[in-house]
Amino acid sequence: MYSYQFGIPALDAQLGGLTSGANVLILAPPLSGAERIAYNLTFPAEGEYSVLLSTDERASEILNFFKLNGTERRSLAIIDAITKSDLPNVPDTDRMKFIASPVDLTGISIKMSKMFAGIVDESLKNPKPGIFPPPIRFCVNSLSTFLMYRKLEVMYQFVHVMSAKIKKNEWIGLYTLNNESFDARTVSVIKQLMNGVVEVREGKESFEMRVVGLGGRMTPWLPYSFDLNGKLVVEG
Amino acid sequence: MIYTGIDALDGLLDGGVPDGSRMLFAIEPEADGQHFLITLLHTAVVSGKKTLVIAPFTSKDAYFVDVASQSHYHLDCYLDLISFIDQSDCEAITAAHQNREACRAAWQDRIKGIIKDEGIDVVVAYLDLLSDYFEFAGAVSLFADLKSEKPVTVAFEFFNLYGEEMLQELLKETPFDLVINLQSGSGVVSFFNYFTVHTVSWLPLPSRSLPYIVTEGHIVPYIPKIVVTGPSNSGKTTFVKNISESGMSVDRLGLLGTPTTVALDIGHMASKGFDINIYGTPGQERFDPIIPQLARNAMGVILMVDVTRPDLMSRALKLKKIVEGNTVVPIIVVANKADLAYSVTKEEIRAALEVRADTPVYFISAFERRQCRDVIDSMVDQITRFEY
Repeated sequence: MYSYQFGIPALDAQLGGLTSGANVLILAPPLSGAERIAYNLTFPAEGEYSVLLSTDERASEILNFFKLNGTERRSLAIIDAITKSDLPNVPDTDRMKFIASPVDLTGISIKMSKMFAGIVDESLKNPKPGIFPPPIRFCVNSLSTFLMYRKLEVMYQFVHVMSAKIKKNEWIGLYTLNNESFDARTVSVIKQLMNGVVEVREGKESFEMRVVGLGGRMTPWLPYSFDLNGKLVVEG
Repeated sequence: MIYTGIDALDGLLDGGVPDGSRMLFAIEPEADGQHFLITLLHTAVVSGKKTLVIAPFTSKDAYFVDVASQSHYHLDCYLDLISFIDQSDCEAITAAHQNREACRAAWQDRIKGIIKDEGIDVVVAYLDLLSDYFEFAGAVSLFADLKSEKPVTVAFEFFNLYGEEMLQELLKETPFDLVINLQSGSGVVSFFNYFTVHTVSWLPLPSRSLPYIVTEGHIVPYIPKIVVTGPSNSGKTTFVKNISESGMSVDRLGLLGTPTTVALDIGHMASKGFDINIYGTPGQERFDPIIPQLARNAMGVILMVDVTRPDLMSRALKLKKIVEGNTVVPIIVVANKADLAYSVTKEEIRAALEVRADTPVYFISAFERRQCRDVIDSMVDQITRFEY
């Protein structure tokens, strides 16, 4: 079975990579860099693709961040639900699709489907055949935004549909959620759809993370920081 | 009458949707189904209907740009015909009325006000956010009792995350005149879309699922396979070639010096708004083992016989049984070479081929393109209306 490596020695040593089909919630307080953690775990390894669904950051900013950290343009696809509200004329491309707002789950579903179909199609046409279906790291940079606009029951079902697709195709899904903005029930409902949780807390000197639930394990709390390019550095 | 703008669908609905109807386009995840409502909206404004669009998920400008980029419909050319309630209006109404009942009343006032002031004929409403506020039935009921001087047709789009069972539950509480369910067949990715005419209040139309493709934002329903079979030299290849806009035959010269099909005939054509693929089987007995593969998943069967050769009816019957296998599909019998002398009747043909008494039997000459196309038109009707 394919294993998704993070390229972060401390995490790979603890987890041995992420098993294909896993859906992981990154549960983090504000200002802890949850999105940056998610992006770092989403960086594609060779032969992989990354697909991001952005509800709180423009595609151009995400693209810059990934490029700065060495991601090839063709390996990255973004569905942006932010930019179009200011720039209605922004056109879709193969690798960037724009939705009017995070409220539009129908539009998101259709464009996600087209994005995945495009990547799978491209991988089939690749003269150097790789793994099929092509390994994809999927990231939703903020479930919190969705939950501010849509009912929990609707979002539960929407995330259920997304996570089931990830599992079926042996991809991985990473979803961030602000744990201070929602009640315990909301967090618990979303957790039900996940295979594991990256928990983040404020430590004495820096933020710390631990991974719970993947393979029934729990890592110790690991302090982390970001370098100047936003690359995640985990101690331990 | 309101047209959906999709020829095949309007044909199924006997021309369109009666004025004053309530219709629902329910889209399941991954189905590329937004073009149904957009096409209906475009068709309405092009025919001069005053229209109200309620799209709480977007701004008016972004909506028009989206429609233009996806479907190439330039709705901004019809601004005098389109009223809009968009995201900012929706947020303003919600912010001004914290109480749910007051909010509901404000929505109703707003909708009724625009319908009355603008003389609206058609309302196009995206239900998702409204059903978050008021539940599905409550959202639909905002459009009840519109008290307009003329009938107002309302078309809803709803993202049905919960599948067909939930749709059935919703429809028990909230009936519509027309319900179209839009779904996709998915493997690793969604590889085809299909629509199901779930409910039609004004027609005895059986529930039927039909695939469609979206080309440049336009919905094109298609029939992936109609099989033409019959004894050797009954005219299958001539028929397929004559109706096809493009196609090919895999044939060889037979012992008598005339071509005979050794693999299949393939044809492609359009009829009644459907794109159709037609597969002709070989007629010689030695090819019988490949026929079940050729006929697999066919949506209709055209059984061709030579009216001058009643002695070959038993062979036609055998081919019919091979093609049908264990499935039930609509059948049309084509009695070819009717331009020559013959003596068999429809009833004799039906009896010899063991088909139902209501199975159409057409006497044609496969050289006559018009007659061949009439057969295909009839086949489309059979496929879309056939009672299993």
